[in-house]
Amino acid sequence: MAKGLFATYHPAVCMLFFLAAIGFSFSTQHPVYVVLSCVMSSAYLVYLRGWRPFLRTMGTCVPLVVFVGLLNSLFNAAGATILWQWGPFCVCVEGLCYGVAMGGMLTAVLLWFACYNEVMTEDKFTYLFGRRLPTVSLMVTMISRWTPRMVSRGRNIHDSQEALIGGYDQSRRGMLHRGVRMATVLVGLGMEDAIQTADSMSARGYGSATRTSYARFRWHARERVVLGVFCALIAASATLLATDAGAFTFYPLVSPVEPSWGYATYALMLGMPFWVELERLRIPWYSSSHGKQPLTRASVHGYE
Amino acid sequence: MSEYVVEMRGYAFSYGSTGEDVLHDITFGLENGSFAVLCGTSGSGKSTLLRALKPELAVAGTSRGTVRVLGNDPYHLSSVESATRIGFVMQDPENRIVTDTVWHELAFGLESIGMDTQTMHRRVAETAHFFGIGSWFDRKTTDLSGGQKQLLNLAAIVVMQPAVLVLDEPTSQLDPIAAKGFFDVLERVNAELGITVLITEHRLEDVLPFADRVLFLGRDGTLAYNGNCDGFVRMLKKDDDGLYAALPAATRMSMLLERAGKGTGDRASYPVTVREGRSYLTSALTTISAQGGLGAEPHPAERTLPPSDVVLRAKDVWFRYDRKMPFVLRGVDFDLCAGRVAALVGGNGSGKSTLLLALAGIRRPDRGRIIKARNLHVALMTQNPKALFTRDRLVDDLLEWSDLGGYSLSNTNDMLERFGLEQLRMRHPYDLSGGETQKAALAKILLLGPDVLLLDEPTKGLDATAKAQVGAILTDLTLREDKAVLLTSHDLEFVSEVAHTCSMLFGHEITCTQDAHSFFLDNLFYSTPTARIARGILDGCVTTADLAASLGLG
Repeated sequence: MAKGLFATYHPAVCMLFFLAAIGFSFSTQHPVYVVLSCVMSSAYLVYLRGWRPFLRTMGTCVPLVVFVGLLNSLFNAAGATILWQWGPFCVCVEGLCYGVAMGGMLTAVLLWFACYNEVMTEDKFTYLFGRRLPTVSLMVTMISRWTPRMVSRGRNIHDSQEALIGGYDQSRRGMLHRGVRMATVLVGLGMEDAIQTADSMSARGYGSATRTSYARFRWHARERVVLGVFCALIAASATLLATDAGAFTFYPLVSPVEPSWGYATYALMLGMPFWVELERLRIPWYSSSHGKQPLTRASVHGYE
Repeated sequence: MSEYVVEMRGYAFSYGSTGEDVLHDITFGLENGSFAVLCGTSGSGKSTLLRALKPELAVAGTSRGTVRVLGNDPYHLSSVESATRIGFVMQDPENRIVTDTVWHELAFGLESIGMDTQTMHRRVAETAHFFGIGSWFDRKTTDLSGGQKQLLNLAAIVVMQPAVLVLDEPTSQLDPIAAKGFFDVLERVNAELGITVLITEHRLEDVLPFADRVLFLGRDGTLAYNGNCDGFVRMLKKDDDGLYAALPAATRMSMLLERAGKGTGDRASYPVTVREGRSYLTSALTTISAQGGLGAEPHPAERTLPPSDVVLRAKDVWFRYDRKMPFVLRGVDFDLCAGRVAALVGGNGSGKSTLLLALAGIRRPDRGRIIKARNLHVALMTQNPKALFTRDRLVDDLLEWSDLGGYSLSNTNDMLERFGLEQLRMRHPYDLSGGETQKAALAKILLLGPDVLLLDEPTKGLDATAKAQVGAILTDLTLREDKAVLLTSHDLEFVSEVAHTCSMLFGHEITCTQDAHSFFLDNLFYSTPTARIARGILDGCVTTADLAASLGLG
């Protein structure tokens, strides 16, 4: 399990986690909360994908932070401490801070989405929404089957076309014409494929009864416990964060950062993918909270 | 309930409401657990007949007579019953897969009929185990090989626990090794699960050994034969209906000997497998030598190829699709000569298609060069020739490039006639059968007047008759018009009959190039069935024609 234990939890738990992480990250620009979210999401992404891919992702995020920060400070002149003024443009410390916080917030959200992609694979998503929206979820799986197929079809059409008439007309007009022709063939073949797939679906009873779902996930005692703890953390973080964020402003002067219990709660909430790993350590108080019961005659007989 | 699982009585079918009957008076019954092969030349209505068993797939038209599946009219079954009782496996596995992962594909049918999760898990697990899918259960369906895809299709049907399994040319898009694997599993489904099988297939060589029943659909749309394999071969001997070439090599050999009056009369049945063929040939030769030998000592003529100009040359070609991927071609040297058919054989993924793309100039080698004679026009036909067509009518489609290639309607008509496609000129290109599509694509390419033809798997999905036609056209092109042809194929028998030279690609390199006859004689098992039958008993035979020559039967 390269992705860690958290990825094996029930999709509903994973989904709730990412909804909370992304939602909270979006909701505040309080610098401490932004930094916490950035640190936690970075740590989790490194854990999931390793350093190299993480740095590559950051390579696209850092310019974003700089860009948003500069843009904000250029156009937002509400601050009190003026750094530099030129005509209508006025750069002040507060605006710069606000911009950096906003960039950090965006970075955190992007990183959480990157983690989401690693953990919430398509089958989990389909499982979560499949029973409610069977048609939509089937469409999602079918699209994800079709996309690579269309790409390889397109390559095949391109090759066979270039091999025959590519040499005749290298002008831009000729190439444009061939592009249009390729699209026509792709659509024609695609429809032909779709008819055959539809045949295969109806031959296997598609639409003959209410669809059920091949569920690959089950609720365990551990999921319930973890979910309970997590919900408590969400509630605590929400209250504390609201208070802290309410007391903090960027304009006209950046308010000082006060110590708060909210930071710890927030870190603990975002750190869920890490603390669920404690299970591996077989810590007695942690393991026993999983509802593990000694095997008794009664529970053995329960199988009958 | 009747004793038959599948039964048709006096069945007739016509397209539309007033059209002429394409199927007449079809009457047969299949007992529970039988393995039946439905054969007939292409266009004889095999698919139409099979589809009549499954209302969801039935061809639009008018039918008469009775059809019974498990004693019921299939049209009176509910759609859940129809889905679970009658399994239908179709051609083109690629398009039959609905979902993106293997496990979901297996579960798809069960989800559709609303099975509860507990039972579904159990069924899927059992089926995955039976088919040996366990190791690739979590894979994406896009990443599977063609053979795995068709196996998955079969498994996704068997998971519904049907009583009857109907298969319409399931292996036409597979290479021979994948096809063998598929048939082995199908045989297990029949033998171990007792599911009745009705299959159409043009690879009789692979499927006849399992079959306990053969149904033969004649050209006129009537059931010309209904009985066991032996009787079928005996019947074909009397009236050769274009299926001779589709028979197993061992059977063809025994028919050849028998026609010449030199068969071993003491045998009750015809040989089907290579092993049976070898023992048949040994005893036939004993009889012949007892009767005074072969007469004149026959010796197949030594084959030498006339020298010819190299028109296209690959020199130390290295190629990879991506910088991070391994090389697909490693130092390939290859010469293509005018006036010859060259064949490229080798396993899947050995780089055959890539070499063709490189020779056609579509992929630039990373190292090495492609050297082309001046003003040489090279044309490549990739796999899936459907990708060549854009218009609604075949004749319009063939005229698409008339400006580029400088040809006229009369050239097109001549070409259609040459390929025997003049009847189909108004058809939509997608409505052609596999063999017709292949021929139409070849016609379209030839209209451009290329000097070199590179053909990727031109025999894929063709029946014996269509294969013979394509072979004759290729021979004609090289001998009469001095064109150079390079083809890749998995069909060694076709290669041995058509190709002048043969090269084997293995491990991304060309391991040997020889004239085709010696190539197949020197190979021990990567060779034609006839060569494997005759090895050590009657040397120097690669094709049935060689065998006839060696035996002095002409």
